[in-house]
Amino acid sequence: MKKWSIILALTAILVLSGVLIAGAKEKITLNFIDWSYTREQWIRPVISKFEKAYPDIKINFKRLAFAACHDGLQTAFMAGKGIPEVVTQEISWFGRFFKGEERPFVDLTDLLAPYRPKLVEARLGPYTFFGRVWAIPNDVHPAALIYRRDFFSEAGLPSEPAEVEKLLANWEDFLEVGKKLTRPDRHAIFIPGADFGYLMMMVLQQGSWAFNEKGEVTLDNDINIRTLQFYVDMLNKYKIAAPSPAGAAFYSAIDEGKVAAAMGPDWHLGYIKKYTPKSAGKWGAIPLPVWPGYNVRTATWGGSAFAITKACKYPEAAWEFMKFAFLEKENGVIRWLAAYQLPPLKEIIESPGLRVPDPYFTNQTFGELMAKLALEVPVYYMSIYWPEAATYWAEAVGHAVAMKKTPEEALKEAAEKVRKIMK
Amino acid sequence: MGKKYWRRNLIYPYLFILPFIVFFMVFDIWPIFHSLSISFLDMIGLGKANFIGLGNYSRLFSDANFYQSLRNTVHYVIGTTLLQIPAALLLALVVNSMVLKLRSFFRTSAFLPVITSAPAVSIIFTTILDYRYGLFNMLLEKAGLSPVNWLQDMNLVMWSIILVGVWRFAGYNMIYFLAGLQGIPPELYEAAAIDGAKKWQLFRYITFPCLRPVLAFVFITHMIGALQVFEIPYLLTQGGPAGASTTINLYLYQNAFSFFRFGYGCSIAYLLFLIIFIISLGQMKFFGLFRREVA
Repeated sequence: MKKWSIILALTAILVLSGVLIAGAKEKITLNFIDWSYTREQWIRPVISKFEKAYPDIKINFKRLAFAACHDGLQTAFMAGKGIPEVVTQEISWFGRFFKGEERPFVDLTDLLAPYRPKLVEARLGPYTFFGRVWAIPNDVHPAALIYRRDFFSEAGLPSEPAEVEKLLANWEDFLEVGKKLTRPDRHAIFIPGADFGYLMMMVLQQGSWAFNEKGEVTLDNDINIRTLQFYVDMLNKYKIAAPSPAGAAFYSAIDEGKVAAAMGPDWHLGYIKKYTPKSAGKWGAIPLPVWPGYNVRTATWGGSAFAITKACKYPEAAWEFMKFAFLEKENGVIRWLAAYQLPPLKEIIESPGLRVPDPYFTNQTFGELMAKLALEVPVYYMSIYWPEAATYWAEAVGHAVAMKKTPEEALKEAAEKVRKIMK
Repeated sequence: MGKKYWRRNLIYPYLFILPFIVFFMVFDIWPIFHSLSISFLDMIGLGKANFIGLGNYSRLFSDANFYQSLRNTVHYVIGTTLLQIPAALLLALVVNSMVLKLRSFFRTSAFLPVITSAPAVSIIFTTILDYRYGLFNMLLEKAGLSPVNWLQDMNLVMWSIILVGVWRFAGYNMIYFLAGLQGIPPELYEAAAIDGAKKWQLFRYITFPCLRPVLAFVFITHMIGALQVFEIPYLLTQGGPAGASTTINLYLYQNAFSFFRFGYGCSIAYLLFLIIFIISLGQMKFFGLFRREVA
């Protein structure tokens, strides 16, 4: 009798377990890849909050090396296996996935439509292909000019931001002031000798870039040629600029006062702030000088965005996560404080949380300046041929700076190479 | 013959090498032929790829950037051959010398660059070769000379890549030369010394001829490796400035991965294979490796 009771009890337990397991809801796991250490710092707490709000969805966040996140994704797409559900991709590397017939990402145009009035519209351009939007931008990356207040004072120039902004109203003014700031052991600014990043910001201010809105190559238009000539003259003719050192040497040189100013978007200036502790408290920040005929005080450079891959079996769950993490106001200020990256949400940009004195910039409200400029960032349109254009544009800058070719020759050659590939 | 004979002599040996055969076929042979087939396709991005015959190859022959990468690669090959192989031989002679104390320490030190990871090497050399803060320019300035823009001057950047290549791989070839030196019978040197041969004569008439097979092997393998150089320019200069340090393999990577043009990338790979094959055959003929030995 006792034996039969035990057998009956065990059978009941087994049957009940089976019912419970069968009845239990399957948890959705979404693999999310990224490469940025600073992004990981704010995204992990956001993921924890999301998983509490949505207990049936688990986000498996993995930070990979940059190449693994980009080339690895490319390999996964080609193999058709191991494709994560949610991905972060750098702005320059996103368009190449649209070269073939397949579209490996989920079209977010209609899903984003209700949110578009809240977003900085200019930032959707780089992730728009064939008239559709394929990713949520992570950032705006407005560009500004930062300068050493002490060096300006030494040169008998005003040093308060409001006055310096008037002094450097346009790039011709910068050239003239640069001559006063330059001396044997110091230049006005570092600019890359064989890369297009700074040049790109200068031409964006004038409504130009490598491609127009129809996808035609504009590398060799008058604005680009004229601006490259000015860029080369800053280095070679007037010698107010020096070629940027590479890697850690760039920050060491800035920290040791080898230049009086620097320019760039928030992430670039954030790295300068992080790696130049000796010069903390000596800087001021102003909008970029403008170009004659164009009243655009800022530009942009770089960026990244979040997309859902077509391999995702649960795109609705992925969209819920994307909305929660990247389109909610409460996560926005954290992103600025953690990574010096303004999200493309207007309500964050207008948030008082950004308007705090920054000791690095002599207690100037640097966040407030960047927030204002974020709303003025010019729009540009990415092309699927951007990787090729970027390579040949950089080559053109290198040849022009080394005076192996004139800016016109160098840019025309670069433009023709891209047009040949596009045929 | 019994079952035991069949199992022992015909089945078991093949079973033991089967795992290698499977891996080799899957990860070496199949990709080689598959990439050859891709080189005949217009494989751009994701999706269907059309057959275009020799279209990628004909485009390659009119690609100015390909020719630049070829020139840069030839520059690297010549530079490293002229510097690295004599350096490796010299190192081997030094560390093989009975006069040298702490020989094991010096042998290990010479080989350390080979096993140091490429990213670590590139970080160190980016600093050493930096225009403002680099060790090399610091020494030049102390000697009263002007600093040199090692990595950002288009005329100098390939020499900087060659310098790193020589530093990195001289120790590797030193090992082969060392093994060759230790295989030379000492009686030859004793007999020559008795005949009054000087140090240089010992090297010219005994060491060098006895090292011929090793020299052939080192030249051929060095050439194959140098023609495929990728990691040093990729990590140190990303092929810049303005493509001045882009090698063929780096150009292949750029086309296949950055530009997502796999068909074109594969055609570059096969052209490189053809170049390496022809050069290797030429080297083998030069060193007499096809000569039949007469007893």
